[in-house]
Amino acid sequence: MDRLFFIKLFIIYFNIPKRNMDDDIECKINNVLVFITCWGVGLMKRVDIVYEKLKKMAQKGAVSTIELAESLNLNRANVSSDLNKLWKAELVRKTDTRPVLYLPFENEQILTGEKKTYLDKFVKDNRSLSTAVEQAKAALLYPPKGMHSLILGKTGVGKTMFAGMMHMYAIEMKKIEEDAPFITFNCADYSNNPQLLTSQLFGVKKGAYTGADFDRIGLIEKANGGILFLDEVHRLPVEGQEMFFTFMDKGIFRRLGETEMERKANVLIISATTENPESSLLRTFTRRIPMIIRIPALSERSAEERFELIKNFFKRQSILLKKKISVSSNAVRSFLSYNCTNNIGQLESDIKLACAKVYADFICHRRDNMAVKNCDLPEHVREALLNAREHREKWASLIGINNNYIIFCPNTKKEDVEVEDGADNIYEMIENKVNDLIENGVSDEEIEKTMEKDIRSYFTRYLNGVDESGNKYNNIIDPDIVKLVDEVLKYSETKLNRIFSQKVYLGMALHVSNTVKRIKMGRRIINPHLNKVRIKYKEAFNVALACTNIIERKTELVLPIDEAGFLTMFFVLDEEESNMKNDTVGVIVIAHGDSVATSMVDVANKLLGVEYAVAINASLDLAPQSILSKVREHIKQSDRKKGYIFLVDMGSLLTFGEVIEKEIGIPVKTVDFVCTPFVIEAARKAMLGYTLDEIYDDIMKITHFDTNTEKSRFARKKQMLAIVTACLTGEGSAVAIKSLLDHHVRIDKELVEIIPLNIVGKVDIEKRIRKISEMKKVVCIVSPFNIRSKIPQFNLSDVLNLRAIDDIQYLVDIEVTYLKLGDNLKYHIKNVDSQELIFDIKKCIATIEKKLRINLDSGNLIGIILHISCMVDRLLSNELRVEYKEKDKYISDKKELFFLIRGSLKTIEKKYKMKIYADEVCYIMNFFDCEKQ
Amino acid sequence: MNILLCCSAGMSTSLLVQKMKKEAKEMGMDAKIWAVAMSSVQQDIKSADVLLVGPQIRFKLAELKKLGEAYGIPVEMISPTDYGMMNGKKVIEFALRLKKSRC
Repeated sequence: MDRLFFIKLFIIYFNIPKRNMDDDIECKINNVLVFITCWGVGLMKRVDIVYEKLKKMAQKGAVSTIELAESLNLNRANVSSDLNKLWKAELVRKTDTRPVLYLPFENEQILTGEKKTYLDKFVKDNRSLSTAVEQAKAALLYPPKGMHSLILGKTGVGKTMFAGMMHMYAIEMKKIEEDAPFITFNCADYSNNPQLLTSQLFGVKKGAYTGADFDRIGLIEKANGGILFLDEVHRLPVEGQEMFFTFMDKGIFRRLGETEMERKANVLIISATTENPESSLLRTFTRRIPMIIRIPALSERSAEERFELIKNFFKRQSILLKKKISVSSNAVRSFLSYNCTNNIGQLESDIKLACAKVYADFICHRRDNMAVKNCDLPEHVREALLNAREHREKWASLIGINNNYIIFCPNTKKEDVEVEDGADNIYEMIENKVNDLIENGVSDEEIEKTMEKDIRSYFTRYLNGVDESGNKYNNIIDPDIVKLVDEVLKYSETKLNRIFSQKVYLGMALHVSNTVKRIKMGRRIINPHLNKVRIKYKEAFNVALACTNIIERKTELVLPIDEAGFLTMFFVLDEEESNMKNDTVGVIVIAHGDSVATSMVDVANKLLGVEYAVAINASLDLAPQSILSKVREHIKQSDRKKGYIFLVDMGSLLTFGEVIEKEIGIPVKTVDFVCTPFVIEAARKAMLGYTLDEIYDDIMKITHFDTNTEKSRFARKKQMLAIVTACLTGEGSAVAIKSLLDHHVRIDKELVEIIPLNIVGKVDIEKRIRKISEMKKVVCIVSPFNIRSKIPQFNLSDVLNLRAIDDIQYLVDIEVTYLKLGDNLKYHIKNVDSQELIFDIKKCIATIEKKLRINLDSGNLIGIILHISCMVDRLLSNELRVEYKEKDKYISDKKELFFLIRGSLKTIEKKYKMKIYADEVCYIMNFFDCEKQ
Repeated sequence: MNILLCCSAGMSTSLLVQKMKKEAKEMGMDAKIWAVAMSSVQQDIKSADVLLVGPQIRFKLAELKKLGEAYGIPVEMISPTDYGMMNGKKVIEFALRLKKSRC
């Protein structure tokens, strides 16, 4: 979404109250418009409005989100998000009731006067630790002296830090003295030497053993009156345990070598372990420790929390390095979604690593700022960006879509993470893009070509995104600029002998205001496309050049010639546009049901403020043919030459695109899934002049993890499998092998293609096989030498003497079966279309494989797919539920796997409207559980 | 002839079982064919002449083979092709071959 889209949304929201405007609302509109102008601090403004209103309304009592939203005429979700922000900033307070009511803190503090402890603050950003925090508090406050506690959690979840916070809390609550000690001890350090460990813990009496020349005090004594933190307590050797247990039970102990004197110490013990508390040692231990606090792994915590952590860690680095660090939103996304096995500890060290890399470049003058981009991250982190599509919505809500960088400054408070507005103006866009391309080693020529397209689409967007009737912009652009643009355009109109549309007027006003801002800030203006523009649109360019002179005179700034190139585009595109109506891609939504398509399209069109997308309802009592003719009719009427994108839900509708394309000869792409956001996205992009392919790709990027599977669906009737035969001696013998295979292996020619390759070099052949693999599944390779690849290979001679034929046949059969699974199950799956189900399951398994970085062979997959498809069918027919024995234990042992698989199955649950129970998930986990394999 | 099939939950093999039963009828064979979940193999193996394992739990094959040895019955994985094609006939033939090889 770009900025103008947002503006539009706002205007839509405010159109309604405008009719019966009172002072209050007018003031709000102004507020919002102010907010639009100073975009950078944008969101704070709405927050302020919400906060002020809440304060007013709360004089009569606590206020709910809905009340607040209604009285402000703002979207409820926005108000709710603002309230949350306010709550985080400790400006408002929530009630525990449903619905949640809000009160400004000012009123509240007088009432309660409660002081916030560090743990309370901590839990705000770490919601999923709230149970742990409550437990910790209970353990510490338990009369008279508190309870010993055991912290459980995987490596790196922050057990030590948590214990430290417990210590702070105990001090804050005056359970222990201000200067009470906090002693940490890692049992693993001495686990090989029990005697040393005991002496460390309990102290030594002089003469207890050779070398014990004086009395030494142990950690227990040192911790007297405070807290002793025992890490990795499962490593406590047997010898130490008994003494320790006595101490825990009675508070008494002896130093090593002492026999008579019993010492007393008042120590609260917090122990921690990564082990399963059911293990033998820990069981004796847990019996004595009533409070077991579990700290969840990073993967179990919410994205919001992870985001907070990431921000904190970057903040910390920026303080350490005393430098402003900006982090690209892509980098943040990677950090949000990569598989961080060693939890928070690893997250922090990965962030450190990234910062260190950038810092190294920075001090070597290889770069001039501390900008952490995705390519700077450790490999396992940056890969996540490509893999995890399902986090998109989360990302968007956390980071925002348009923000390019998040900036951390050493001298601001932790909460003041600035969010720099993204590439909403062309300079930023160009600079970012060009830098990106250069970094990726793209040639100048290529850059120019790519940029030509981008610049063009930027201007088209500017022009189209601006509402024709949008006088409102007077409020958001400096009046001087408005006047200036007025003058510039009047001049241009006479010179070019044309009348410009309102759009040019507004678009250019926005553009020039950006230009002026940028030059004032001393930033460069580059137009990589300048020369082409100059030659191609000579007349318009000359006028534009004169325009820059006018602007220079008025603003007393110096404009580079590049700017003229940009202005030219406004003139040129406006002309082109008036000549080309209907020159955008059509968006047609076709869905089963009497009004499904209409309702989605209505929402989309309303939000976009234009009747763009078209709905065609496929009532269930209509034959597909008559729906098709409706589509046909519409297309003939609208006659868009650039093609159509169909968003359809299922069944025969999927084939319409192909039919229409053949009949009418206009390109059509079909997206096999439809929901309102997609309609909005498609319509918006189409309006802005994106090409059919671009729209399609963008939508597929939201819907599918991989467009290849999409392709494969439609290509299913074509050849999808391949056997590659390679020969050194030239294509001739490769072809001979091909005919030999044709002869001896039963091959369905519709499905399997034998591809003879002539080898020029080894590298070359590997590359070519990779290329083939992108298009087809290569069943096996026949080659005279080994090729580096995971694909099964057969030696040439084994094939020539027919020894390998059976094996090849076996492989081919499995692959063919895998492909045809949907057909085979047609009569077995009762509740849903088997083809479709199998396709969805394959997709789902592919996601799981990708996440786990494993590749199962097709033989395995057949079984798994059968299992899952039977399961879906079974659940849909409400047949008996299966039970997985010891499910709870299995789940708790394999939490990560469980969540991963359950998450991946969500798409199937959603689509087939059913619930996949934990027992079923466990069975499916079995297939992917590497330890079992 | 008692043919026991096993997959993780005993559900997907039951499809195949239906097909095999039909096939057995046509072949005029007197056979008991049934499917169970991994967890109940221990119990059911006692009354089986041959145990066939679904390809998706290939990883359990070794374990099950050991179990089969203890009861003196052959244990094999069903060919993924036959499994995916739901080819009841071929699986029955496979079971028969297995049993024969044992005798």
